Order: sequence, then C-alpha cells, then structure tokens
Amino acid sequence: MEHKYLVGFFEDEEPLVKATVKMRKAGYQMKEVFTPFPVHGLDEAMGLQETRLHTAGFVIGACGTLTAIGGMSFISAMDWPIIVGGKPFFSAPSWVPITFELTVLFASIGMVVIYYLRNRLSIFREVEILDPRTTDDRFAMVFDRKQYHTDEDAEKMTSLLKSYGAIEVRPVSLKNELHNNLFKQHDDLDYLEEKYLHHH
Amino acid sequence: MESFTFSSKEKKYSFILMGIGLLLMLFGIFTNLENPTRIATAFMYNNVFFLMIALTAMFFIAAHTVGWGGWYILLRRISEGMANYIYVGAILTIIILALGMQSIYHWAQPGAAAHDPLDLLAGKEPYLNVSFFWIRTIVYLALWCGFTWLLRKNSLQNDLNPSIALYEKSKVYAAGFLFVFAISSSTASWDYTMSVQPHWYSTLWGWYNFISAFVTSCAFLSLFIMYLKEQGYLKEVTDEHLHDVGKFMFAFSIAWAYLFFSQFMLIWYANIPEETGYFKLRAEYYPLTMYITFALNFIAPFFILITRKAKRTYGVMRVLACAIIIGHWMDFYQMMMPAALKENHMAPASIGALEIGIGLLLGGIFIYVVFHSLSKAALKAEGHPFFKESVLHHT
Repeated sequence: MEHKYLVGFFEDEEPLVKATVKMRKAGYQMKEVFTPFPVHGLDEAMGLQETRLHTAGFVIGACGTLTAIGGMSFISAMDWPIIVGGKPFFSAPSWVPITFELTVLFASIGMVVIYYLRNRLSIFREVEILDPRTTDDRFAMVFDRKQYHTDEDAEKMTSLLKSYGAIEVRPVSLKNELHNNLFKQHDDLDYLEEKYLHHH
Repeated sequence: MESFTFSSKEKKYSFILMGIGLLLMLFGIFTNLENPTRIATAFMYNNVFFLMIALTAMFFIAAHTVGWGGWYILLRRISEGMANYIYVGAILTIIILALGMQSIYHWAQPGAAAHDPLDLLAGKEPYLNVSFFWIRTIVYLALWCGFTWLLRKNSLQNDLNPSIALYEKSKVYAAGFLFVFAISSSTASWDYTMSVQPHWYSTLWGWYNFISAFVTSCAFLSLFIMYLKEQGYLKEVTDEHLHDVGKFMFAFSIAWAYLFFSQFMLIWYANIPEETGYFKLRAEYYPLTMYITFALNFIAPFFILITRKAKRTYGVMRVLACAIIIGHWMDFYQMMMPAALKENHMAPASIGALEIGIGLLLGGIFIYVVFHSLSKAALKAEGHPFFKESVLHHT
C-alpha cells in the first residue's frame, strides 16, 4: 500500500521554523520535519510533546540502583560474608561507587535501546528515505494526505508553503508509513507566533 | 537602552535586612564575649562565603568569555554586579584578618609550632607563617580586584563604543583571570578554610570550596533573574536562560556531592586517625549540620531540579535556590567553625544568632552592591558582539 504525503522543501532553517508556525496558524499540522542537522526551537514550533525518554532513563537508572544495592547486600552481607578491611558486612559507603556505575550503565544502555525501538531503527530493516537531499542541505516539511485529503487542501497548502519560502512543493509516495509523532493537545499558537515570528 | 533604577523600596528592604543582621550580630557578640574564636570565625566564614560567591560570578563571566559563550550576555550585568562585591569582600577580609587572625588560626599564634605535640606545624612553617599568609592575602585580593575592575571597565566601554577590539581584549583579561583563579581558588581555600585545622589536609579541598561557591553563585544569579523579570525588566530573558542557569545549579550540586563523597569515602575506607579527625569531630558534635547540608545541597536539587519543567518554574527554582544558598552557607560553617573551636580549646557550639546575624548583614550588603552596580550601567550589554545570540538563545 502506498502512503501519500505533500512535502515542502526549504533551503534554510530560519524560514523553515517561521513557516512551521505559520502553517500551524493556518490550520495545517505537519506530520514530520526532516532536517540535515538539529534545529533549535523546531520541536517547540512543531508542537511536539516533550520526549519521555528521560523518564524512561530515570526509571531504568533506578532499576540499576536497586540491582546494585540488592546484589551487593545479598552477596556480601547474606550469602557469603567476608570481612574486608575491618568494615561491617553491610557497609553502604563502599558500595556507592558501584551503585553509581550500575545506575549509569543501566540508564545509558536502556535509553539507547528504547531510542532505537521507539524510532524503529534497526540494521535488519530497510530504510526508506523521503528525499536524499534532507541528509545534505534541504529541509523537508511533510504533511499527511490522509489527514488533508481533498485537492482543495493540497492546493491551499502548496500555495501557502510557496508563499512562506518553500523552494519546491511536491507530492511524495512512500511504501512505509511515517511513524506517528506525539503532538501537544493544546498548544498556544499566539505565544509561538510572538516568539518565533516577531521576536526573531 | 534599558536601565535599572534602584528604587527606594528596594533600598529600604536591603537596609532592613542589614539592620536585622546587625541586631542579631550585636546580640551574638555580647553573648559570646568570652569566646573570641567563635566571633572571629563567624565573621571569617561568612566573609569567605560571600567573597567566593563574587569570585565565582567573575569565573562565570570569564569562563563564558573564553569559551565563546553567547547565551549569557543578557545576564552578564547581574554577574558583573555580583563580582563587584569582591571590593567589599577584600576590605572585610583584611579587617577581619587584622583583628581576628590569631583567634581563628591556631597556627598563627606565637609559639604554636614550637609547642605542637605532633610536631607537624614546624614542617609546615615555610608555608603557614603569618608574614607569608599576609603576602598571599594581599596578592590574591589585588589580583582579584584588578581583574574585576579590568573586565567591568572593558564591558562598560563596549557599551559606548562597541568594537571587536574590545571584545578580543576582554578574552585576554578573562583568560588571565582564569589562570590566576585556577591557582588562587585552591591556595586561598587552603589558607582561609583548610588551615583552620592545620594538622589535617585534603587534596580536593580547593575544588570542594570552589564548587560550593559556584553553585551558590548560580543560585543567587537565578534569584536576581527572577526578581528582575518580575519587576518588568529584561524582557528578552526567557525561560530558556533560566533553564540553563538551572542546569548549572543541578550539575554543580551533583559535582559538590561527588567531591563530598570522594573525600568522605577515602577517609572512611583508609581509616587513618589523622585523616578521620575531620569527620569524627563533625559526626560527633555537628551531625545535624552535616545531614541538613547534604540534604539541601544534593538530595533536594537532584530529585527536584532533575526535570525540565522544574528548571522553568519560578516557584520551584526560587525555593531550590534558597535551599542551595542556605545549604552551602551551612557547609562553609561546618568547614571552619567546628575545627576553629576545637583547635582553640573551646566547647562545640551550634549555629546561633551570631552566625545568622553576620550572614544576613553581609547578604544585605551583597544585595545592595548588586542592585547598586545594576543601576550604574545599562541593564543589558547591548554592544557585545554576541548580544543577538543571547536574545535568540534556545536550549
């Protein structure tokens, strides 16, 4: 099955961020924006929800903490107590470095794994690239034709994108569907307009 | 060009703060007349605390200047105001040392080295002697004041005639200050806070003091930002800037805990009497101070400031900034006071009107100095080449 998208290409980040806010102000929510490098403020302009990756990192890190403390107290205080340096079997201060290391190890590896899973990145999966130029010097703003399916919408979006500085607007069909971003339910567009259009 | 007016209301409040401090201080002095060590040490540790905050505000500017930092330019005048306290701190240091050096520092008393039962002070005498101590003090204070004056002058000149040449010059001054501060922050910490307990030493003491002061300096910076924002100043300063200052508070609270624990664990593990003396004294007579310090300086900032939202919420940031300031103030207390009392054969004491009074007095002077310097120059360093970068800043 083919998935249809309307893509506007931009040459620079500044018109891109401005056009993002303007398009949303006009009532069109983009599905995704592809950039060759991270663009500051784009996530906020797009209305993306804050990532939950750090929450996952905290939880996994806490699992690491518990694993370390539980493991060491079981081994050196219950299962096989040995006196080391005249310290008590259950000597918390000497465990802090290892607890710290395991926390960091769990959190970092866990976050990498979750990041790959969530973004469906894998060496076993063939990657379909929207346009190779987005890895080089072009910025692509993608609208879902499923969401805006009428020809009227397509024409309106094309003319709007062009008037906001897009150098090229064309439909693109992909075999795989772009995965869904989580967007904010309620976003203050006036605030964004003030911040990104007037202030900058 | 935006400028800050030091309103009569703000002046009144800072004088009220100083007044309360002065009353508490006088009460503390009269109730502790038989204990000059406590009085002198209370002055010294409060003075070192605020002097180090001013110095680390200077470090904040210098490190960002050398590192091509642009985001902080909008906050630069606040940091400069905090750095201007160095002059006051320098004068106070000289007065306190002139009057109370022998009451605080056991090694500075005549014959201390000759009558040392452990015979260690004689070996340390080439470094720890009164005349060299004074020479070092004068050198530190002169260099600190000199660099503060140079950077401030450069920044004000740049307001009138913005030029790249001035910016390049400021990088030279900043690099010079960083070089001086890298050495003097360590040696000054040995001199002022570590030599109180002259038989004991710790090799990470300088860093421990520096980080303690730096995190407090960032906490003060965030409080000033939030205050000025609420008064309607600094429209361009957004949550993004506050967020970055919050990151500093968070990161350096962890760095403080890292050093605290490194020092503690090595001493605990090795269990050598001459090293454990430091923690034995504090754990035996000042356990509450230690636990509260650890809770305020590490547990609270770590678990509360960890989220992005907390660093962008004024209420949370304000409470945490106050917690950090109080926690590190207590940390400086427990660095100096227990040891000073013990070395001078005085009974252990807890934090009382004397310490709080001097803290409020110097805090009031500090706030007055910051507002006074803010009102003396444009509130924003608009001539700086990175000014626009600071306005557009996005974390």
